[in-house]
Amino acid sequence: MFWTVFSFELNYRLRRPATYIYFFTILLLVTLIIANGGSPASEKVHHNSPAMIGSFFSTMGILSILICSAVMGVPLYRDLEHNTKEYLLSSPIRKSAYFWGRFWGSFAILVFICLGAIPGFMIGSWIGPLFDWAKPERYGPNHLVYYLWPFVTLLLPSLFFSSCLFFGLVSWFRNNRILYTVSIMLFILYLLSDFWCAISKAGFGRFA
Amino acid sequence: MELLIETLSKQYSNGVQALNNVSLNIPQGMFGLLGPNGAGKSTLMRTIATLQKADSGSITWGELNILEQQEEMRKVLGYLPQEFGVYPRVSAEMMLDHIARLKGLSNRKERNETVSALLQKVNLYKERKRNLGTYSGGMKQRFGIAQALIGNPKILIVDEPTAGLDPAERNRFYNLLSEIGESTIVILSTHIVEDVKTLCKQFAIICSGEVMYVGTPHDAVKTLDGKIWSKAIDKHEIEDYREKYKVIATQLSEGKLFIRVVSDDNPGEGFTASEPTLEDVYFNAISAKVDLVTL
Repeated sequence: MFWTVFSFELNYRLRRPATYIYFFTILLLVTLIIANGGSPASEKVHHNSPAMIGSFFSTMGILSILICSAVMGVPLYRDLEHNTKEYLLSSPIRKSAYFWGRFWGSFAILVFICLGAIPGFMIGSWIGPLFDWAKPERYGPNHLVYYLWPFVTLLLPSLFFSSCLFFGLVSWFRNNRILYTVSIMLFILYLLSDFWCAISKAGFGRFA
Repeated sequence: MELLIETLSKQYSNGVQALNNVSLNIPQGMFGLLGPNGAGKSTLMRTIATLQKADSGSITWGELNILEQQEEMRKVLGYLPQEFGVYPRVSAEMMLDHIARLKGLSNRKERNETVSALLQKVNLYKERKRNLGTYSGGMKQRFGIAQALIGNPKILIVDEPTAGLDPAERNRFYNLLSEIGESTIVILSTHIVEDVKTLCKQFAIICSGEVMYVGTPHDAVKTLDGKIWSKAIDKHEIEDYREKYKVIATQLSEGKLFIRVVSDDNPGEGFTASEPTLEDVYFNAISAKVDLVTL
């Protein structure tokens, strides 16, 4: 029963252009950032060094909140939006299978979309020197494990956290307008906390 | 096996008493539910379909307590809601396949056969690859019928199923229903009286959440034998007649108003005896609750 719902969700999402639009947007953005040497790496650090990749992915955890709200907000809302709840919910489908099938199906799609960052990094570090956008010595060798490890340990937990939040909000409020409010609020809170961290690191003296 | 509904009541939070002590025995075959809009037909059907709870009362089918054992009920249920939507970017075939899997048809070959047989039955086989969002109203309705029939339901509930179907499709659907009705409980709600007469072995008239009549269409008409009188009057006289008689139907024709009244004896005054119809039974039953003179 779980697999029925899960595979339908995957199948449904893989037919939607939005999935690929998100995927290629991330891929393209990351490619351009890395190819232009736009990473915050200092002069002696490779743009695609494991440390850089790690910090990039952890920042991406915040930026992906917007995509996350779009992907994780729709699966339960879909049956309200299209008014399919009447006949779908009178079929012998367990609540847990419905809930978790839609959750994990959408989460798998979200992970797929964010995986776009990895080829983005690799392509960026290849075409940057090729087009002379950045110096070749700023790029080190690409190993898949340099990407997978921070993806699994840094980005994946953030994605899971925000996915639970957005999926939970829709199942609780049965309304998807709440998503946009909450995702923007989260984003602003992050920027504020980032700002306060910077201030406290620099010391209040400078602002006094 | 009969479906037994006993003293079912439901009041919505806005104070509307949607069902008031409804008791019905629904045998195998087609069972019609007749009633004006807002009579409680949909509430009753949604309650049987396990989509909403009742305040009190019970629904049982053999050993099965439908209000408690929802999942068991859903395995034998086919439900076509009055209003429903579709995922616009999924094909009919894919959606039916999904519903078939949810209903427990796990064998792929068997499932494919079921889905294509159903698509053929509702005349959508040629359009099976098209996205549901591109379907017309009638096609969507036929898709709804197909999804209700997946998995050979033992209890089939169809809520005003012929809305949006053209006359040919309607006949086709009714033939399909009566074929199914030979081995299944089919509960059909409608406000087309004629449909009940041609299709249903038994029917009930529901109004304001109460059962006003239960029986066969034939017996129902018999109850009014010799009691229906009709007359052509002038339009402005209607109020006088309403005071004196139980007027159950009015019909304008060529400037004259034809009225039908219920009376045990000949009311005189130029009234002529009329053959009772099922429509008379219906209007007579709901006349206590609804104002029938719509001028």
